[in-house]
Amino acid sequence: MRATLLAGSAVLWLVLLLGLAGPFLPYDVVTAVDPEAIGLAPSLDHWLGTDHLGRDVAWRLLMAPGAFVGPGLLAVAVATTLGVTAGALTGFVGGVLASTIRYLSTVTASIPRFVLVLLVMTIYGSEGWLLGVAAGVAWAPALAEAVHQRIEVLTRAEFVLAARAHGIGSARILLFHLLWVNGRRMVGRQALLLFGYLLVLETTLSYLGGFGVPEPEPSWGNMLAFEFGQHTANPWGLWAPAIAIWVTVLATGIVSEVFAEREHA
Amino acid sequence: MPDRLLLAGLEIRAGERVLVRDGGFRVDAGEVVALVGASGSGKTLSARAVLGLPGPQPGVVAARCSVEANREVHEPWSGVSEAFATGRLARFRREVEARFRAIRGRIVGYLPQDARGALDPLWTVRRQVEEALALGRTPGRATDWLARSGFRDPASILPLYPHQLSGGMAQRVAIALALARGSRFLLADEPTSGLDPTVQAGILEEIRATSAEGVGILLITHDLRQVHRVAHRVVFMDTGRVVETLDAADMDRARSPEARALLASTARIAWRAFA
Amino acid sequence: MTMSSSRCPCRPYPGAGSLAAALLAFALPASAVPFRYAEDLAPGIVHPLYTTTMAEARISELVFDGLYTDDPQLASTPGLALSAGLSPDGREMTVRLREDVTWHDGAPFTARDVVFTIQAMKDASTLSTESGRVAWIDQAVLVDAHTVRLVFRQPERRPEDKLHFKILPAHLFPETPIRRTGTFRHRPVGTGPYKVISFNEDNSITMRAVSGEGDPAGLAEVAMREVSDKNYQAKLLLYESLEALVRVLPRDLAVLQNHRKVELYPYQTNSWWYLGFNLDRTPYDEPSVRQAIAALIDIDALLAPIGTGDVVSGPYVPSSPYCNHQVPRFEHQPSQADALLSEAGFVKEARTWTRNGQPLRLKVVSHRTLESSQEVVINLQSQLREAGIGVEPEFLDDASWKARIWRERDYDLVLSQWTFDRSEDVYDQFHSSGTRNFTGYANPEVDTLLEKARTTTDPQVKKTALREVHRLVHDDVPMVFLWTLDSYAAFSSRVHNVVIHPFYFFTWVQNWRME
Repeated sequence: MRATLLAGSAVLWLVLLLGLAGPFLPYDVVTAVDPEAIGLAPSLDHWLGTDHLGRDVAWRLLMAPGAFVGPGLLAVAVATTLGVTAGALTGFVGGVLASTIRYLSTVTASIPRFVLVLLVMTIYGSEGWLLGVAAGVAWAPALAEAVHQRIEVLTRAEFVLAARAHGIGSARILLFHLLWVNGRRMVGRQALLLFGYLLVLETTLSYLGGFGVPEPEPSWGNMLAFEFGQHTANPWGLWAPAIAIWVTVLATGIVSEVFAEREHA
Repeated sequence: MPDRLLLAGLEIRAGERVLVRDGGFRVDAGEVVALVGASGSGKTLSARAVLGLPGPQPGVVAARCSVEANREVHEPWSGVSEAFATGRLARFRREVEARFRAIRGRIVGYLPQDARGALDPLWTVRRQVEEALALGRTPGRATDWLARSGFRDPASILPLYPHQLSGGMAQRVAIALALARGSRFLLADEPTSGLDPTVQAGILEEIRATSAEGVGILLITHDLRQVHRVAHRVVFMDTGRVVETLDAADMDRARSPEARALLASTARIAWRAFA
Repeated sequence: MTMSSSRCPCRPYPGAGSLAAALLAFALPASAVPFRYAEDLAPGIVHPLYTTTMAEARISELVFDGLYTDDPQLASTPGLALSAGLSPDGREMTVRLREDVTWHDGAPFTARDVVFTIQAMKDASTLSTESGRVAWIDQAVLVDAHTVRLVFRQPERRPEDKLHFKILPAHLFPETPIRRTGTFRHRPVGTGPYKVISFNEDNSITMRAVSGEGDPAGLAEVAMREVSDKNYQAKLLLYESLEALVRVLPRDLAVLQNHRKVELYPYQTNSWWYLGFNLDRTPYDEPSVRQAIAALIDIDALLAPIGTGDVVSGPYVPSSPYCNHQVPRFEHQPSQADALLSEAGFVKEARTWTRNGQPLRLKVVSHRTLESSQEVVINLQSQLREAGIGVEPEFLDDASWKARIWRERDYDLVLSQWTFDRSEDVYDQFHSSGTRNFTGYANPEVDTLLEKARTTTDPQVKKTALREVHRLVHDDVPMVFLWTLDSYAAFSSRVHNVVIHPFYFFTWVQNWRME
C-alpha cells in the first residue's frame, strides 16, 4: 500500500513539475516537423520514435503536461470554490438562498458532464482555460452534493453540539471544524479525481476532432488522436500517450483512495 | 454575590406533543444538583435550554432563566415570550444568540451524553484542548489542564485521536474541555453511562472534586445511587414535568407517586443485583 | 427485395455495424443487401441546383439525369435526349427527347421540364451557383411534347458538352425562381436510375433502383451512409459493413491494397489544393510578399506526410489540356524569399520578419473536414516559423467557414481544394466577378481571356486562352498552388464491373454488379 502510494504521488508530482517546467524545456513544438523522419521507430535520437509528421514522440510526451496542468488546477479551483461554497451554504445555513443554489446545482448536474463541457467548447472555442472552467463548473454539483451531505450529517453530530456549547461561533464551526478538519480530505479526493477526469476529458475532446488542446501544442489526448488510424511504423506514437494517460489517471485514483482511507481510519 | 443558575417555566413542544412543561431547576455555586427521571422525561432538553441549544423558536420558550456568576447577571431568555407574542422573534434572534454565546463555555460548561462523540473525530486531543484553552484565554498548557482532570500521564494522551481513547479517558477529556474556559457551572449529561463501575467511581470523584472548587454542577442521571454519592439536592422529572425537588439526603422520603415509582424500580434492581 | 433490408440498422460503429452486417448476410440472400457507400459528411439536401459539395454531386448523379451524359471515354452521349440537330450556323439546336421516361413520382417526362429547368436557372431570383451553366443559352422553346429548340447567344460547335446539367420536374414547382429552401430538397424527384426512398435518422439516405429502367441484374438498392470518423471508413469496408469508399485515405492504402476482400480503383480527379491569400489585406496585396511566402514553402515536404500526387503550377492539373507546361512550379527558395521580403521593407528582428514594428504573422484558416488539413497546416506552421513568419492556425466548421471566408473575409491564408467537373471551368474562381472568387483576385487580362474561353467555339482558341490564364494566374500568385492528390476508390470484391466517373462517380452505376 505504502509503495503504491509513493509511486502514485511520485507520478503526480512529476506530471505537475513537467507541467510547470514545460515552457522552459529546450524544445520548440512548432518547428518540430521533419518530413525526413516520418514514423521512425525508437532509437537513440528519438527515444520513442517519431509521429507521422516526423515529430519526436518523447519530447511531445514531456511537453504535454503543460497543456493540462494549468487547466487542471483551474478546474480544481473553480470546482472547489463553487462546490464547497454551495455545499456549505445548503448543508449548514439553509433558507431560500440554499434552496435556490440546490435547485441550480441539480439542474446543472442533470446535464451530463461531458455534454456540458463539449457544448461550451464547441460554442466558445478550445482554449485551455475554458476547458478548465467548464470542467470545474461541470464537476461542481457533484462536489457540492458531497459537501452538502457531509455537512448535513456532521451538523447533527454530538461534537458540533459540544463545540457550540463551548461557545464556538457558527462561522468557526463551519469553516474550521466542518470544512477544514472534517472535509478537506474529501475535497482533496474530489479534486484529484477531477484532475484525472480532466485528462480523460481532454483526450475525448481531442479525439472528437480538435475540441481539445489545439495542435501543434501537444497534449496526450491530441497526440493519441493525431496518431490514431495512422498505419505508421511507430506504434509508440499511440502507445506512449495512452500509457501516460493511463498511469496518470491511475495515480490520481491511488492517491485519492489514500485520502479516503485516512478519513475512515 | 454568590454564583447561581436558575431556569424556570421552560416549555418545549414538538408539534402537538409537549416534551417539557414548566421545567426548571436551580444550581448554586459548589452544589451538585441531580436531575433524575426516566428516559424521555425531558432532562437533557431542560439542561440544554440554559445554553439555548435549541434556542428560542416556535415551540421552545423559557419564562425565566438567570445565570449569575463572575459578578455578571445573564438573562438570555428574557423578553423571548413577549417577542413570541408580538411576532418579532425573527429580528430578535440574533441578539438572543449573542446572549447565549456570552455564557456558553464561559460561564456554563456542557458535558454531552456520549463523550467520545463529543470530541471532533479527526482531531487530536492536544488540538482540541488547545482550541478550548485559546478560546477562553485560559493560561497554562494542555498537559497541565489534562493533569487537573485526573490524568496521570497527560502527555501520552495528547497525540491520540478520539477513537483511540477508552470511554473513561474520553469522558475526562470532555470534562477538561467543558471546564477549560473557567466555567462556573457544568451541565453533565449522564457522564457515567456506558462506563464500568471503577471508572464510574473515578468520574464521580472528579465531579465531586470539581464542585469542591466552587463549580455548580447539574448532574443528569437515572442512576439514583449516584445521587446518594455526590448530589446535594435532587430534582425528579417525569414526562416533561418537574414533579418534586428535595435534598439528596431526604430522597427516600419523596412523596410524589412518580418519584416513588422511580425509587422503587431502582430498589428492585439493587435487590436483584444482590440476590 | 424485402423490406427488412432497407431498415438495416446502419450505425457508424464497427461493432454494431459488423454484427448487423453478419446477421443480414446470414439471414438474407446476398442480393438483398444494399450497395452501401460512405461519405464523410452526408448531403443535407438532394437538389441539383444547390449542389455545393462533392457528396451532393455524387448523389444527384444517382437520382437525376441531364440531356447528355458522359460515356466511359468521357465523350458526350445522349441521356434524356434521343437525338439532336444543330443548325448550320451553330446558333440553334433542336433536341428530340426520350418518350419512355417517367419521373419517380410517375409523371411523364416532357419537353416542358427541359424548358422549365433552363428558365428557372436563368431566373435571377434563383440564387444558384449552377446558373452559369445555362448563361450561354439565349432561350429554350417548346416545340412539342418531346421536342425542344435551344437558341444560343453565340454559335456553338459542341453544345451537347454543356448540356449535362440535371433536369428538374416542372410539375413540382409553382414558379421559375427555385429557392434553396423549397420542400423539393427533402423530397427530390428525378428521372435517374435510383429514387430516394428515405432520409434516415442516422443521416443515411436509402435509394432504390427504378423498376423497368436499366438491367434488373444491377444494384437493387443503394445506401449513402455518413461515416464522419474517417478512421472507420476503411475498417467498415473490411468488416463488410460498406461496399464502397469514394476516396481512400492515403494512410489506409497500404492496408486495403493487400486485402483480398477489397479492390482499389485509381481515378483521376480534377481537383487541386491551394493556399489562397486574402488579397485585400496588407501586406498580401503586394505581389512580392506573396511570391516570397510562396518561395518559403517547401511544397514537397508538405505533401510527403499526407500522400502522393503531382505538384500543380497553376489552376490546371498536369493531365488537363489547359495546363501550361512551360510554367514552372513554385520552388522552395529561401534566399530569394529573403531578398524579396527585404525589398518589400521587411527586416528580420529576433528571428521574425517585421515591418514598421509589425511582425509578419499569418492567420491560416482551414476547413475541419478537409482530410489531412491538420497535417498540412502544422507542417506549414513549422516551415514558416523556421523562416521567421508566425502562423496562427484555425480549423473551422461549415458554418463558421462560410461566415469567415465568404462574408467577413477574416483570414490571411486559406488552405483548401477546388474540384472541377469535365469543363474545368475556373471562371468563377479567377474572374473578377466570379461567384467563387473569395480571394479578391482581379486581373483584366485574365478576365478577358476567361470570357473569350467561354464564348469561343474554337477549341484551339480556348486552349490557348486558358493556357495563358494558367501562366498569368501563376505569376500573380493569388494563391500558392499545391498539388493534385492521387485518388483511389475502394470497393468490396463482391462488386464487379466497376467503372468510376472521375467527378460524378456514379455515372455508369447501372453497369455495376454485386454478388
